Amino acid sequence: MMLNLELNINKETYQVSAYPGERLFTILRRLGFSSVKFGDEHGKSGSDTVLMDGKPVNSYLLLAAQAEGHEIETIEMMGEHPHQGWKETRGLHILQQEFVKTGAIQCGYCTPAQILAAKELLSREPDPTEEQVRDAISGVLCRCTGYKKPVEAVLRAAARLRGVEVPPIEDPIEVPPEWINSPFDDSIPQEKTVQSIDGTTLTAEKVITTLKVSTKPEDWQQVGKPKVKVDAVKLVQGKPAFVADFEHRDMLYAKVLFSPHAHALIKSIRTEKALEIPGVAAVLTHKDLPRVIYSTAGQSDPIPGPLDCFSLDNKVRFVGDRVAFVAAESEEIAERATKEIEVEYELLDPIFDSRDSMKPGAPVIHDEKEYVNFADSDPERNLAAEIRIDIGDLEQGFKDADHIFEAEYEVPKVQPAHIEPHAVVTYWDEDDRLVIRTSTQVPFHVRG
Amino acid sequence: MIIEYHRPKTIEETISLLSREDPCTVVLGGGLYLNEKEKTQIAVVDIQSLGLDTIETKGNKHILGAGIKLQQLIDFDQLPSALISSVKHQETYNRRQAATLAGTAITADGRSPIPAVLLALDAELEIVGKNKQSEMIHLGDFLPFREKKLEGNLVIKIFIPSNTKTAYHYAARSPADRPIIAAAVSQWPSGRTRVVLAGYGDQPVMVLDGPDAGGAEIAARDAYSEAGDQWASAEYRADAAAVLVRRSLNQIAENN
Repeated sequence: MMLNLELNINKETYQVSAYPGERLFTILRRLGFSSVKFGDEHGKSGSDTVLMDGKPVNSYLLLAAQAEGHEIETIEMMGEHPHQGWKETRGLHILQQEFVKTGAIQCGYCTPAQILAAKELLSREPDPTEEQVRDAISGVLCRCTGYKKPVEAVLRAAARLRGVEVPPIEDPIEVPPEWINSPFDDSIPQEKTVQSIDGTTLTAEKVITTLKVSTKPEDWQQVGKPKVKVDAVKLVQGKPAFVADFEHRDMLYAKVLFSPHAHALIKSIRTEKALEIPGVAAVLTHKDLPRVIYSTAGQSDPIPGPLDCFSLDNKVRFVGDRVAFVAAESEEIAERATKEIEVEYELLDPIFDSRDSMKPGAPVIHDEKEYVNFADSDPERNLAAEIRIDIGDLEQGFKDADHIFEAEYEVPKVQPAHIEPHAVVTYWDEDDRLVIRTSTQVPFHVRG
Repeated sequence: MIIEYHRPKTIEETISLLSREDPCTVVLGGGLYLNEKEKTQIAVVDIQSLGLDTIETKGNKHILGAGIKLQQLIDFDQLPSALISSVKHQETYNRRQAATLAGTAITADGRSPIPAVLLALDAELEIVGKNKQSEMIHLGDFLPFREKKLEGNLVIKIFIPSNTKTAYHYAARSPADRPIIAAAVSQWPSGRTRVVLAGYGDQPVMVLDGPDAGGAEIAARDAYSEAGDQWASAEYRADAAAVLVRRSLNQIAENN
């Protein structure tokens, strides 16, 4: 049963239909408020922040129905680009100005949320302490800035809003006198050693560089002067700048069916039921795609890793490996269709320990004939890479050592927890070229 | 999956909705837990229009409305500082605007700071049900049977004492992370002392409620002597529990 809701967003009334369980976030995105970003389903990242009755809340954790009768505010109502052709605008809000000036924006994904949280703080506390600022923005995870610059921006904005003058950010940087020494100054020790009582060297510290800073940066046009990030004005307004912000007419949504098995062959895969669902445009399996092998490793050329991946294959090699793709008129339909794909697996022996994987007779995960080695990779031993890095004369180092500690170290996989999710939008442009817009650091891999 | 949304204006209407067997109908406080977790088909009853967001002090009790938001606890400057610390520890500023006190208390797991402090304060819940009679129940008696106790019932108020000295200390991977081990201690003017540990298991555990603090460290060490999991060994938790209880008692003594 759909609910007919009347939502007050940015001082305007919107009549919307929503499912009882539909999030405010979904409605806002549907209405075109691109500043409200998806970060996670748990209210941990805070990029979905809006103000409800002036207070910052996570729109993904709030039902649209809960928001009825309350005033919702997004950053779209805070400020405008100061120059829109010949038109004069009210310009950016002071908070937005300070985020731009201080360099408080890097990727900008969380910036609208931080500014909304700061706006709420300044509405109740015009002269906040740093601790209050940090608490106010504690619900918004920023991976880029380390919070130093956002806190500085909020404190500067608070001062300006109180009518207090703040030093221009463009002022020459105050250079500590010790920075000004020339690296070639003989008075600076180039190497510092610490010796034990018996005269042997315990530690050696080599001074590699000494910073050279001009005493008169005002003489220079660029060096020593802060520059506004080229996309800061766009990001500080929450304009559509990220992959998921772009929508095209009649766009289809894709979902992936993932493998529940660690190692298995796909004996058969049937897509008829999925294709029968109204709104499903396509279901792709390994039978539909050319076998193009590629690597997901590295950010360079040559690629530092073996070529061992296919978009889809008749074999799955880990839980979560790709089995099939669905394209449909909505995310919900696509998700439903993935559940209607019938897959028969032939289970193969899995490997759960890297040590076991290299033992003779271990199951071979990458037995595809297209596999391309890189350096010392060895698919027969399930070895993707073997790297030895020596610096200096190791043998001599061990001979000279008073103690030698040997151990085996394991490090976990690290997920840097970027807040913008992986997303991709593709379309054929007016020259019939496939345009791929995606959140990636390796565009040439994607192009390949 | 949420298939119905209701926003009643009276307790009676709320209880009537909660008493239905089909569809399964549950209370929607701030929504942080339900909106995040719910996978089965349910109807929700939003309590935002019931006026359960009040705080008052009567005698030696603070009476906290079940629908009060966590940030309101911080803004009300008469509550124990340990409770405020636990609120700041448990939720970010954003989530504090939506999360309700009762919702936070009844969805507690072993690593939840706020329920640990409420348990140390010997908080009592006022619950109304189908017969419209209200029932008072201590949080410690409620948590083990919470699913049963909530069937068709609504928590409307939480009572905590206003005359205790309370302390909360914890250890975690970072200051903002959930506790691996936490201790909450309350002491009444009579000397009565309650010690609660959190950081492990399904819910915080009360390890001492006595006429004084005698034996508190030993009780804490014993209570977590087998509390080992992927976050910490039982040995570490038992040792750290004793240390945190000692710190809490020292803090309370210093504040006397």
